[in-house]
Order: sequence, then structure tokens, then C-alpha cells
Amino acid sequence: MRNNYESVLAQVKAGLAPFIKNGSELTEGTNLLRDLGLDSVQVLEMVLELEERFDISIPVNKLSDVHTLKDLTQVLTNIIDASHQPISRHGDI
Amino acid sequence: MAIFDKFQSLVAARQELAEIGIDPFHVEMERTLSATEAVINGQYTILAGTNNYLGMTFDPACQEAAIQAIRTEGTGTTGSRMANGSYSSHQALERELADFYGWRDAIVFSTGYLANLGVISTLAGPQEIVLLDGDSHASLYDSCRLGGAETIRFRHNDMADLEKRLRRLGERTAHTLIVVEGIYSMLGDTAPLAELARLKEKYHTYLLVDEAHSLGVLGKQGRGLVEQEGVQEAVDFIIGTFSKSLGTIGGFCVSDRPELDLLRYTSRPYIFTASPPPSVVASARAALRTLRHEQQGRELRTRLWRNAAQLYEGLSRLGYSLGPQSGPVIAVILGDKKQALLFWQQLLACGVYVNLILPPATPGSDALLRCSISAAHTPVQIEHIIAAFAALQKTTDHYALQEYWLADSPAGIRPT
Repeated sequence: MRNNYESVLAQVKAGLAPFIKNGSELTEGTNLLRDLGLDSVQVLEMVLELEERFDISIPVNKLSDVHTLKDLTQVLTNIIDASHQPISRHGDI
Repeated sequence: MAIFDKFQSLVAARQELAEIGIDPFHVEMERTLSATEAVINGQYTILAGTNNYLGMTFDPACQEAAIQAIRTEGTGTTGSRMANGSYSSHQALERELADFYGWRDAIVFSTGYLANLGVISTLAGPQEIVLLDGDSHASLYDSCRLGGAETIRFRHNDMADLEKRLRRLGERTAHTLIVVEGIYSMLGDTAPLAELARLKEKYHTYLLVDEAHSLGVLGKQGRGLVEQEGVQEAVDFIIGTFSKSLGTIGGFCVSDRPELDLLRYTSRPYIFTASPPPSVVASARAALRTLRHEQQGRELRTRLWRNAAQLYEGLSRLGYSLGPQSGPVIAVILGDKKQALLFWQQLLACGVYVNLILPPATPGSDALLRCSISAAHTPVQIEHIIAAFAALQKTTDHYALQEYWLADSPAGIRPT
């Protein structure tokens, strides 16, 4: 079973919820640094939360081109697919 | 202008610093008086931010060796060892380093930064994985980037987090290099090497320890944290630098693996950099001889740790929040960047130079006043540093501060 982008997106939105301070609505176009006002320490905490949620490690060098929620979801989908693990083992969907 | 547009926020930050009168990241040492003293802003200043752990920069044997090498071999090598050839002193230094660790081989690089870059970027390419402690020095991150390895950060010194990530890698652990530091440069804490060695053996990875801040400082013979923890058999590569405890510049990698020599033919930071000049190699060798000398090495480490304990205890008594371990790196942790900047400036006014470290260079979001201690500090100089930190707690007024400090500071040390 392959994980699809939409199910990862839903999980990422849930995972990012604690990091949204300014009541912003998360869309795929949300810029994680600019729109959410996260500093580098908060980004690190966010990455750690997503790693726990999906039971994956996100390589630092995969994050350099991540700007938007869509970019992040695509990177995570690729990592999860490469690990050949169905998302339902780790998530609640 | 376009290529400079991205620096706009930096321009604003620098302007903010300029308004306090001195840029803490661009301090001029007008005269260097000794390993622990300089003149800054026309004022006599105790240096407590130099990483000169054993005070070797003014060691007479090191100075004399460098002078002699310049006279006999010239001022520079003018090229890389692959192109221009090696000086016999390069090879002697490598043999001496290998002998110091009891390992097969060592490679000398032109700086510590280049040693990390040269070794890690070559060992770990796009097919390999580097598991890197989150608090690692920038040179370790840059090494991973240059080599293109899949780089996975684990929580600082958190062995449960590391093991979780090893488990996730499955069979790929055979292609994985774990990278840690002996003493971490910002907070001065040490890596849990016994547990790292256990995990390395369990998951069949490689282990590299950067002893930049622990060489000459830890271990009965001064080899570093690996020696102190008795785990050398589990370690594949040790990186070190000459620019801290050995008092000059340069770096090295030492290993018992016969393949280390292959790096000389493939490591771009080794091949495409001019090799260290004869004077640098000569002073590094002289410093290494002193460090290895049973009595001299032990005395230097005894003085260093006595000084570190004096400062750590003094600052603790004053109620400052410090890094978790006493040692040659003592970080005063301040939550607020503006307070850190003010304190840093006022310490300098009291004739004490420390390193101001601001986020994102710090672990977490705290600002640090980072002190590094030397065997060359005298107990009176350490008292002077403590007195300056004590004065900061009494006033923020510049002139009143100097009065408090002059009242508390030990006799015999006054600005010139």
C-alpha cells in the first residue's frame, strides 16, 4: 500500500497545529517561515514532531528546498513511500 | 546590488551592534601581550575567549621551533602536497600523531575546518548516511553538505533518539557514519562516548569523534575524551585541531584503518589547499612534544582544570546559569540577547574579553557569554574575571560598574 499525498497532508496539518501562534490558516501555499513566524529553533522542534508522528528521520539536506506546506508534504510523502511503510501503522488515518 | 539583497537583515543587525560602540564580532586586539592578555580599546584586558587551553601560543619551545623552521625552510609551502610534494616535517608530524594514538596513520590538513571537510565529505558521499549530533559545529554540517551524504540530525547527546534513528535505517546502518564531538564548543559538555560505542557496535556503523576542544585537555595522556572514556577500540576516526590546545593552526585525522591513506587521493579539501607552512608544522610538533611529555603535559592539564574549577565555582556562587559541566569551556547562559550584548560590552569595559554567542549559533534560543580557560591563566586573573561578572550584577551604569569592579578586583591587575 502506497501512502498518498493527501493523507500525509492531513497528518502534517495536525502535527503543525501546536506551532501556529497567530491563528493563520494552513494551506498548501503557507510559507512555513514567513507566514507562521517560526524561528530556527521552532522549525527544528517542528521537524522532530513530524519525525515522531511518522516514525521517520527527515534528512537535513532534504529540507533545504522546503518553503511551503506543499513542499514539506511532498518531501515527507517521498520519505514515507521510500520506507515502504503504510502510514496507517504510525498515524491515525 | 541584487546579489547583496539577501543581506539586508544582516545590515540592520550590524547597525544595531554598531550603536553600542564596538562590534563584538570584529574586536581588534591592538597588542597581544601573552596567551591570556591583550590591549583592546587601549585597555589592558584579560583574555577568556581564545580556546588557548594550554597557553601554547607563547610557549618558548613552540616559538623557537617556528622561528627556526622559517629560517631553514622558508615561510610557506606555496601549494598542495599532491602537487608540490610533502615536506619531511609534514610526514614527521603525521607519524608522531599516529604514534600518539597508537594507530596506523594520520593525515594533516591546513585547518581544523578543512580536516572535518576533507575527511567527512570524502567518506560520506550521496550513497552514505551521516548521523550527526544536533549541537555539532558548523564545519561538521558543512562537511556533510559538501559530500552530499544523507544527513540526519539526532537530539544532542540523546542516545534513545540516536538508537531510534539507527533502527529506522535498517540494513543501511552499514553505510552510516555517526559523528560527535568530544567537548561541545558552545556549552562545554561532553559526548556520552561509552553509550555511543555500544550503539556503534550493535548497529555496525562507523564512529567519528571530533576532539577539537578535548585534545590536550582530557585523558591521562591528553588524547581527549576517547582516551578518558577508554573507548578508542570502538572509534574509527578521530579529528583534531592544532588551533586550540596546540596553539597554532591546522587539523588532522587519525585512524587505525589502512584505507585512511586513500583519502589523500580523493579528498578535495586536502588536494586543493596549500599545505601548512613549515613554521606551523614545527610549532605544532613542539606543542605535541610538550603535551606528550609526562610531567609537563600533566602539569598543564592540572593547571587548566584547577583554573576551570575556580571560574565555574565562582560564577556558580554568583548565581549565574552555566553549562552542565565544569571544564575549559564555561558558558554563561543568558536568555536575553540585549542583556548578553550589554554584559559583554561591560565585561570588556572591566578588562575581560569573552565570546558573545547569539542565536542561531547557540544551542536553543539562549544567548551565551562563552568563556574559555587556559592553563596559562593565573588564579589572580580568574579572580579578576569573577570580580567583573560580580560587578555586572550590581549596576548597569558604566562608571559605577568600573568602581565596583576596581573595588572587588584583586590587587595587581589594573588597566593601563
